[in-house]
This record gives sequence, C-alpha cells and structure tokens, in this order.
Amino acid sequence: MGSGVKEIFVFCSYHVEQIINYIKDPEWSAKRSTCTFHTVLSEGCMSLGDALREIDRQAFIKTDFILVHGDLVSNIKLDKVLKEHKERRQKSKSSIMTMIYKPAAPDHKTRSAEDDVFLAIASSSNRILHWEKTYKKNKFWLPLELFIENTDVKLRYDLLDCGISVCSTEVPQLFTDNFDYQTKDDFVRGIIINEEVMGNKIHCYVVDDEYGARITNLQMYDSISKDIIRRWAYPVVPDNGILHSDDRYIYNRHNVYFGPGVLLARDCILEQDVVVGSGSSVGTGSVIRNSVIGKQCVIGDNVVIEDSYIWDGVKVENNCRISKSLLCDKVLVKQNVTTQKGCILSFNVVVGPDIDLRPGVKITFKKAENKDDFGMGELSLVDKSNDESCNAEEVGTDGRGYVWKKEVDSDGEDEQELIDFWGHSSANISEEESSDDSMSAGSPTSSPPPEDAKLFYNEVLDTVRNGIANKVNPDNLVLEINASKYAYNVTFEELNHAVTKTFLECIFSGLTAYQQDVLKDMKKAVSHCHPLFAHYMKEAENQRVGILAAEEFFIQNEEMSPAFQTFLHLMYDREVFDEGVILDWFKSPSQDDSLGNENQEKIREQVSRFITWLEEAEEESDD
Amino acid sequence: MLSLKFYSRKLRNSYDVAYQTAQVLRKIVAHKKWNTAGDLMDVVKTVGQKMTSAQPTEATVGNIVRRVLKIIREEYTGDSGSKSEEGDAEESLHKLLLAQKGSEDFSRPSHNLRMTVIDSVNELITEIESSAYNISSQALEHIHSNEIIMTVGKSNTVQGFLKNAGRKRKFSVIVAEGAPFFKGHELAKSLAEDGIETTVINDSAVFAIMSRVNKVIIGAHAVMADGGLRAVNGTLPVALAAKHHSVPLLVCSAMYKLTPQYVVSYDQDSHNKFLSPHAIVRFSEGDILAKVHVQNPVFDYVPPDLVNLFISNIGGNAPSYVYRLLTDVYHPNDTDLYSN
Repeated sequence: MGSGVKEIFVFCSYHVEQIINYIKDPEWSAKRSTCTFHTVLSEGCMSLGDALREIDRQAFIKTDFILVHGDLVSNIKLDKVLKEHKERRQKSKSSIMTMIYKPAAPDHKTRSAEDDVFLAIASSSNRILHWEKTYKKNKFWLPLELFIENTDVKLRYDLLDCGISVCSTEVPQLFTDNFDYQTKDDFVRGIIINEEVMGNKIHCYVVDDEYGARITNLQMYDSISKDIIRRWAYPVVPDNGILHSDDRYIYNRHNVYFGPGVLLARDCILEQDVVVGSGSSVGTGSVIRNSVIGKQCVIGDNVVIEDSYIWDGVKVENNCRISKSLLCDKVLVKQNVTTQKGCILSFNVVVGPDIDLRPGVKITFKKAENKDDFGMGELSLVDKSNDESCNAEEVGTDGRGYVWKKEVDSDGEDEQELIDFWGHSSANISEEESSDDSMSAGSPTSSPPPEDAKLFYNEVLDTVRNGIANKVNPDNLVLEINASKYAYNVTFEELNHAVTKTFLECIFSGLTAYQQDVLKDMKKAVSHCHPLFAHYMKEAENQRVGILAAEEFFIQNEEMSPAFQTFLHLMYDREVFDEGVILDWFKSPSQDDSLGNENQEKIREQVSRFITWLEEAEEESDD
Repeated sequence: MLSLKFYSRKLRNSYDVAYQTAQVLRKIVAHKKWNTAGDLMDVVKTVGQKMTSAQPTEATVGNIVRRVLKIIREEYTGDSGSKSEEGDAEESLHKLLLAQKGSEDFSRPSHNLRMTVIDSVNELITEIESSAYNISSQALEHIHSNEIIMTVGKSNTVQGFLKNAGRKRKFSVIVAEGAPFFKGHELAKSLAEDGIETTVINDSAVFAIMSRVNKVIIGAHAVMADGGLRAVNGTLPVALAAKHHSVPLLVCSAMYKLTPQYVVSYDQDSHNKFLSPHAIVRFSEGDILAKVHVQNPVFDYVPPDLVNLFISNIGGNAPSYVYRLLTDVYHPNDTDLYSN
C-alpha cells in the first residue's frame, strides 16, 4: 500500500461469503482505507487462467496491475519493482510482466519442490530467457540460440518464486487468446517459447533482503509459519498486530509468543518457536515446541506437542503426544492419544481415548457436506466412505470421524488434495489485486475425453491432407491446427502426436505397397511442411513425441517401414528433430507393449544405419 | 492515519513520529465533536491508546499524547479561572501530592477552550520543530578544541550537535559503525563532508579505543523515567567502556523522548524490537536456517548510572533530575494511558 496501490480486486471462487465478510469488517478496511476494494465473484473459476480471462472479459483493469495469490506472505516493498517495470514499459511495450524472485539455496526449507524453477536470465536487462520447472527432472535442455544471441546469460537455480508479478494490461488478454493456459506457469512457458513470434518478454526482479513466499501446500505452510515465527517476514509477525489488530501478541525469548489471556500452568515448558493464541490454556507438565496453538484451546496435563499446528478451539486431554500433525478447528483429542508424523484431523473430529494414530492418517468428520465448515467442500468429494457408525479401531472408542482413504493409484492426487486443502488459507494478507482461487495451485490440465482426441485427430488429418494437396502456406496450417486444438482442448503432446501421424498418413494413404516414388512425394511434402513441424516441435520433449508418433505409424503400417529412415533423415536435415533427441529415442527401450516388440525391433533395425551415421557425424564434430 | 504510516514504514525517526502525532492530535482537537474538556481528554486518550498499541516501542507517540493531555488540563484550569491550581513555579512536594489526589471536574463547558488548546498544541509543534536546533546550539559548551569524541550509530540530533560545534572548533570524531545496520557509516560520511576529522571503527574496537576518548556523545530512542536509555544496539558496550575508563557520557535527546515509563529487568524483551534476521544471516543460506535461532534486536537498554548528562532542548540535566522534568511536562494522572 505504501507503493501507491489505489484499487484492490479480490477474485473469489470458493467461500465467497467469508471473504466478503472479512473485507467488509469495518476495522480491517478502515486501517487500509487508502484503497478501494472490489470483490469479483465467479463460481465456475477453476484456475488462475479462468480468473484472468474473466477479468479480461469484464475489462475492469485499465492499468498495469500487481498479481498475487491469496496465500501470499510477503513484506516486499514494491516501489522499486514498479518503477523498474514502468521504465521498461516506456522503453518497449513488449515487456509485459515482471516476476519477483528471491535467492534461496536449493536445500532451503522455504523452497517447495513442486515450484522449483531453473532460470536463464540476461544479466544486464534481467530478461528471462529460459524458464523450466525442475520438479522430478535431472536434465535441462537449453537452446543454443540462447547463448548465441545473448552475451551475458546467467543460469540460476537458487531462486524462489515469491508469487508476486507485476503485469501489464496485455496479460489478461493473452490469457484469453490462449485459453489453454491454466496457471501462471503455463503462461510464462508459453510467452517464453513464443518469444520470437509474439515478441513479448518477461523480466524478473530479484529481492535480496525482503521476504515473500506462497503457501502452496502443507509443507510450505509449515516452513512459512516457521519463517514468520522466526521473524523473517518482519513486520509481518504476530506481535506486530498487522494480522489482527484486536489481539496483540507478546514476544518472549526463544521466539515464544503469547496472546492476551493465556493461562499457563506453573511447570509447563514452552521451549522455542511457539505461538499460543488468546484465551488458550496449557496444563501442568506439558511440553510444547515448534508449534502453533490457536485461540481458545485447552491443552491438558503432561501433553507433548511438537512441530504441530493446532487451530482454534481445540481440546487436547491429558497425556497425549502430538507430533508433526495438524488439528483443525474444534478437534477434540481424548486421553492418551498419540498422533504421528503427518496426521491431519479435520474440523470437529473427535479421537481417542487410548489410541495411536498411524503416520499420515487423515480423519474427517461425517458432516462434511455442511457448507458452513469452510475447507470441507473439497474434502467431501473424497469422503464417500462408510456412512455407518465410526470405526472404533480408527478413531478410538469415543471417536467421531472417518479415515479419509486415498484413492488408489493416485500418488500425485494425494498431494493435489493437500494443496486444495490449503488453497483457501488467508485470502487477506495480500494487499493487491488478488485472486483467491482455491484450485489454482497447480491443478493439472484436465485431459479431454478420448472422443475429443479422436475428433481432433480427424480434423488435423483433414487440414494436413488439404495442406499438402493444395500447397497451403504452412503458417495458415498452424492457425487451423491451433484452432482445432482449442476447439477440442487437447494437450500439446497430443497435438504433436497427431500432427506427425496425420502427416505420414496423408503421404502414404492410398498406397498399399512400398514404392520408390513415395519417397519423392515425401521429400516434397516435408520440404513444404517443415515450418509446421518446426513451429510445434521446438522443445526436445515435443520432438520425442513426434518421433514416437512416427514410430507408431510405421509399426502400424509395416509395409511402409523402409520410409521411416528417410523420414527421420529429412527431418534431421531440416533441423526439426535434434540429433540428441533421435539418439535418445533410439537408445530408450520400447514403451508400448501393445504394438508388439517384434515390429518395433524391426523398425529400429531399419533405422540403425541412419543412427550409426548420426553417431559418426557427432563424433566427427566433436573432434 | 498514523497507524497506517507505521505499517507502511514511512516514519523513519522519532522526530517524524513526534511531529506527525502532534499534527494528528491537533486535527482531532479541531475537528472532532466535543463539549467539555473531559470529553476532549477522553477522545485524545482513546486515539492515543490506538496509536500506541499500533507500535508499542515508539514511546514518542505516547509522550506527545501525554503532552497534549497536559495542555488540555492547563488550558482548562487557566480558562475557567480557578486560581488555586495555577501555582507558582516552585510547587512544594506537599502540593504535588495533593495534585495527584485531587480529581478535578472537567465537565463544565468552556467556550473558547478549542482555540486555546489549538494554540498551545501549535506551540508544542514549534517546540518539536526547534528542539534539534536548541540542542545543537549548546554544542560549544560541551565540545572543546582538540577533543576526541566518540559516538555510535547515527542519531540526527548528535549529527546536528557535532556539526554545529565543528563550525567553530576543531576536534575529531570516532564513530562506531553500529552493526548490523551500519548507520555509523552514514554519519561518518556526512561529518567528513562537513570537514570534521572522522574515524570509523568496529563495534568491537570500542573498548580499545575508549582510553583516548575525551567524551562520548550518543543519541537515544527514548529516555526512561529513571534516566535510563533505550538506544540503538551497541550503545550499552560503549557506555560500559566509557564508565570503565571514566569517560563522560553525554546523551543528546529532545524533550519529546522523555517517557514516564520504566524498563524492568525481567521484561526487557517487550521494550525491544526484533527485526528480520536477514541483516545478520542471509535468507539464501539454506538448510542451516532451520537449525539456528537468529535474533536481531534494535535497541539496548542503558541503565541510568552509566549516563552523566542529558542535553535536551531546555538545557543540560543529570539523570537524577529526570523525574523532576517528568512532572514538569506530564500530568501524573496521564502516565498510564490505558487507565481511566
């Protein structure tokens, strides 16, 4: 707000009423009275992309804006960033976005593995040249032009995305133009890949001594809470009254914070990094370390709480041991309960007495459908398990609640749920144009139903056949294919697959046996259409998909297989396929068992001569 | 409002805080609806409570609120013509005691109270504005030729004081840099630009250098009721070293920093301000940050027995006299803003 922000738009899709009530709370808004607030409602919004498209449709943002998520914690002063952004904008209209990064070592707690990025930056202009997610990846491909065109490239893997970006008015428009963009990641990737075509640039700004991070999952919730307790986000600390002006925390040695009216038994021990909310009490002999305890909680005698988060109104009875767990509002933990690493007890759950919860157990309450319990909306989707009485083995004899079982074969799903679960958290620390969309935190591009893929394939087939027959300009082909892509909402992978396969199908259609002149046709067609491939297959990953598609085609049409080698060679000559990708593909074992390994081996044998030639060529160039 | 300015960290030093607080209070006196002096005092008190709770370590806010409350009391008694309280300059101890007990009646309406209070608040603002000048004009009484002066960090008051002396006399200044904020560097630069011989030293070298120093002149963030100081961290070692070497320690501090509060030994943390540790350890450090606790306090508490002289805008005083100044500028009933 110190940076002169005048209007704040809050974009909500879930729990709309709560957010609106919070903003309307007179005390809260009076403090921030220099800005006007607008809430934008959109129930159907499933991602950041949807939100920005909605913003573009309603067109209420007329100037450059700052885009933040509702789960941001930050103390960054934006003056400098804004100034830099504006100066750049004046120089060239094409720099459309400035993203804020913060240096942090790769093993840093506050770095979320899912959001790790690898960047190539032009050090003089801070322009982002290459951007890649590193989650579950060990190798990166950097295009050679990157080093040819820029004399000063910095490669950085020590940056943490603060989740703040200064956007120009073009950004919502671009989201509308490319309606497959779901998240900011899609957007950034798209912009950087299409840089030559569109001319848009993204810049970055590295802050050194200020704090900013997004709570995208439970792990981040933990590490950001720790950062706040350890005062990295100063002045966003509990004793500063910046979050809640009514209850002021008192700061004590070893990062122990008390709210007003806390009752501590004489011999309880609060070791370090502890927050105890107002009106809570802790019984004798209890030990608390590295934990947050909400308001109006009752902690019994001889309880040990470590590395846990306990929300408001929780009651923990005597002799419990709670470690690395999360207890939501109004949970009741009866006597002698032990929770272990990763336990989550949702709203109003009762467990115990005398039970050990296994690590990673998640328990929800039956009345999950109840709309008033916020955060339950997502959980209720999964909570279709037993409606009959509670399982005493799972939640204890007096327990109320059900173990939420993970769906089978969904390793990633689990993580996803956690993210969703946290998506709703505090929409309100954020000060600027904020989009609170619970799902935006990395929801996967939903793959279309198979019929769509088929329809799309047919459409592309028509387009390409027409293109080859009538010698249509490849650029127009690209446009047409793009249009069908959006119409059927398919992924890039499927698109590349379809393009390669349809291309080959067009050439060989109508032929039953292998003929020599087909090669000539192919040569012609490739020389005509190679810009099309070049457009779609810039990345190694896309090229691999293309090669696999070609392989699949030749396996299915065995009689044509001798042409495969020529096809690869042509594509290599036209610099569509990289030699590295081809070699990798050749070395990689067959993936698709359904097509039969025999055929595949045959095919590969066919191309082995070309591969040897390639390898030799590579060795020569190495010398 | 003021609290908003605190949040956005727009107010940088105690002078700004004092000045802005007085401005806000003047606005309240002028524009709020009130009928009697009692009403007005309640209004000012509630605003004062809000502002002090927004930033409890900025004692200056509370001090200005107390000053204004005292002004209202005085103007009211003066206005309503009750001569009994007017008192001569030297009030006896007996009278002071009586004044604490006597709860006056502030409910009588008084017609031109608004004007007189605004006038007096304007005077207060002028006093705040001129306090730095008044302090620096005493510099020649304290700094003599060829002396070696030590200071720590950067205080605007001390800077003005030294510069004023530097115009007439030749002396040299040793500045302890004041890690981790290194404000001492700024001070040294600005003094050197004015032609004063300046040396910057480590905070750890203070004791070694102290033996050749003639005077230590420091600023303070707040002066407590017993004459103790809340000053930038690194001040306590300097004060202790000065005591060890029997070097006189002078404190330059305007009257608005004088606080009717005490620091007690068991509750020093709540009088301090703990900043983000990034000035000490870099956030990019990685895994180690999860394993250590890094504290970055802003202030030191310097007990009154280490201080030799206070130089305020109304002259020099010993710490033992601070209590008397307090009764001059504040009314005893206003000491606790949160009581009714």
